[in-house]
Amino acid sequence: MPLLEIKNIHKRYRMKNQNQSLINSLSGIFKKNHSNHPSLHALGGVSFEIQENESVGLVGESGCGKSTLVKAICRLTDINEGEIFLNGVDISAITPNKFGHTSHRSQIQVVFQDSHESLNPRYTAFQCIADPLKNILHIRDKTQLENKINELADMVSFPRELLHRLPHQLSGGQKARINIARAIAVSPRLLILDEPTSALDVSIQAVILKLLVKLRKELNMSYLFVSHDLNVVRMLCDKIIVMYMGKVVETGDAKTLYYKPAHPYTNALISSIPSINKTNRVILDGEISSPIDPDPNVCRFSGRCPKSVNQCQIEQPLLHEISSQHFVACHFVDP
Amino acid sequence: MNVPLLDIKDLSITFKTRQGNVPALENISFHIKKGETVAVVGESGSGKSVTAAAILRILDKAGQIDHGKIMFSGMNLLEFSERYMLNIRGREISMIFQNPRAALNPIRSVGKQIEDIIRMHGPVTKKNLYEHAIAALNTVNISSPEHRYHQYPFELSGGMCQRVMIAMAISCRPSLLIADEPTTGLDVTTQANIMELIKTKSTELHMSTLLITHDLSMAAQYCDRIIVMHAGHIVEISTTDDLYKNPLHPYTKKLITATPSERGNVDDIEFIPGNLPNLLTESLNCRFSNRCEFVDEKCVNNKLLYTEVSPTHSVACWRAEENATA
Repeated sequence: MPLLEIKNIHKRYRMKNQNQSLINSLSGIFKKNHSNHPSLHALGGVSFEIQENESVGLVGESGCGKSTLVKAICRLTDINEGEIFLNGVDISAITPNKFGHTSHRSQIQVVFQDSHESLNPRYTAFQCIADPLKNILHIRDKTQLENKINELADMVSFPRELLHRLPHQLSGGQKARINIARAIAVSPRLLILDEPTSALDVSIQAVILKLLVKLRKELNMSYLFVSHDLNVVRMLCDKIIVMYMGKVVETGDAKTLYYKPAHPYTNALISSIPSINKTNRVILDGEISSPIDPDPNVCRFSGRCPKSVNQCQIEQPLLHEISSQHFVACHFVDP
Repeated sequence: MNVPLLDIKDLSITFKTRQGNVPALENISFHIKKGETVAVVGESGSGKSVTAAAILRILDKAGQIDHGKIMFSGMNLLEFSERYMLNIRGREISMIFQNPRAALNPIRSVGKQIEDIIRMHGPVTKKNLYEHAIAALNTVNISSPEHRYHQYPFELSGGMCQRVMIAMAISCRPSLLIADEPTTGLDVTTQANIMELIKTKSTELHMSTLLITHDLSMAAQYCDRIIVMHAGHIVEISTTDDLYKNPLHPYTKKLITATPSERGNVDDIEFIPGNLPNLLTESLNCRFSNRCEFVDEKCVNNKLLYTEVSPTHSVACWRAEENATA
């Protein structure tokens, strides 16, 4: 049984009706939903699995639905359709309000993107880590709490003598460590890392990445690693999922996907990574099509795709397996 | 014609703070030739942006230039009056800032903002202003410029805002373009677009470009030469190929191994031990000596020395000769 199984989840945000005329012109006449309100399709049927002790990378541009997916998985937002199974239990049925009070909360933890913004500015490092211990594990005993926090600080190599400091007195790397310590405090089975290193210098990024690799080995966690840096994802993950506008366009083994990308979008992503020895690069032109009530029969990438033909305008490609465990959603890729 | 476009000599800048004086830059010297693309690479706090601000004379008031010269086509920019600098900024040297959304005026349409800069520097009649602005938007491949002209920064995506910034920066055909981390906060695909745009425009207009970045691989891909900075010192200057094939300063070596690359595993990346020195309290001859594994007495006691290994490759390390032969 996989640790986490996501089945065909949809998330739509309803939008205000005031710009009706503009929205209509954007979305065309193909509007299918019955309400008058246009809606933004953040997730359009995403399915994947995360096995026990597996590290999965999630990549895509900003606005492709990565963060919505993260929110949906850790039940910070409701979804419109689909199911989320954690250890075989459907957690999508539990409302976000109640989820925090269930025992599932300790199973899924998140390290948020901006390590400074996601720490309470009035909490010391100690209090930041103590918070989940008090509220989720209900540890009240002072010495027990202190021991646990010292242990966690050591685990993420955060100097104990800095535990009384406030976030603004800490460096970027130290704040990242506090965020990680806070997330692993309740010993989760699944750790979601939302761009944990995007704001850090390369040298500190290297330290944090090594720390993450070490922690996964020690604590037997599964990772969902959200990032736009494919180099980092390839290093850390067993499996990579590439998203484009709320849909999974390619998924497969990290090495296969990186060295032999099949979808034109993945190919463009990989060739966009700056490097000293890169020759033929794919530069994506055109603009992203609107995510507001998109036409269900058009491939969402077709506006920017170098290969796009008529078929892409009539039929949305579905994920199909081209080799073992390698799925691609494109008309141009044959098994 | 052998005078370099920009020649910085022995530039030192001190910031006066309540806690004391911080020597942010110490004896910085480098040059940029006409049409050349040069990158300044370093961690945050290494003095990259301060260098850029000093060139444009837009340093914070607390920052004081102790000594040094900034020669721009044979003239010392530091001797110019503030009034005269207005003619230089935007016309001769222009800058693309890190966060385009913050750098653009939020309550003025982007077209008007481009007009402002053209009006300031060019002999353009009011009638022609609009055409010039549209043309500027066109040069940076913005689709339907007539529509975009009336839009405000918040209506545009990050990549689009950066294109507008570039349009403004190159609208008066400057001879030097300073790009201060032009792609932070943008997606990799947009980043590639923006960098290609900067590159094609600088060759088209024969501009020199100074690219400030913390991403060594980006510098390597787009630049002819790389300047590596660490804590307000230049530690190595070299052509890109040479720097990658034969890095001489221990900091450069560490920086290369710390950057995740196309091949290699997590085990291959190495981190740089320690932190940047606190310049307020520590005065070090070699500011990397605290973090360097090869440090010896020579490094601690003697003044920093630049060794020229080849005409295009110089390094600030006592062990440079040793490393070069090894």
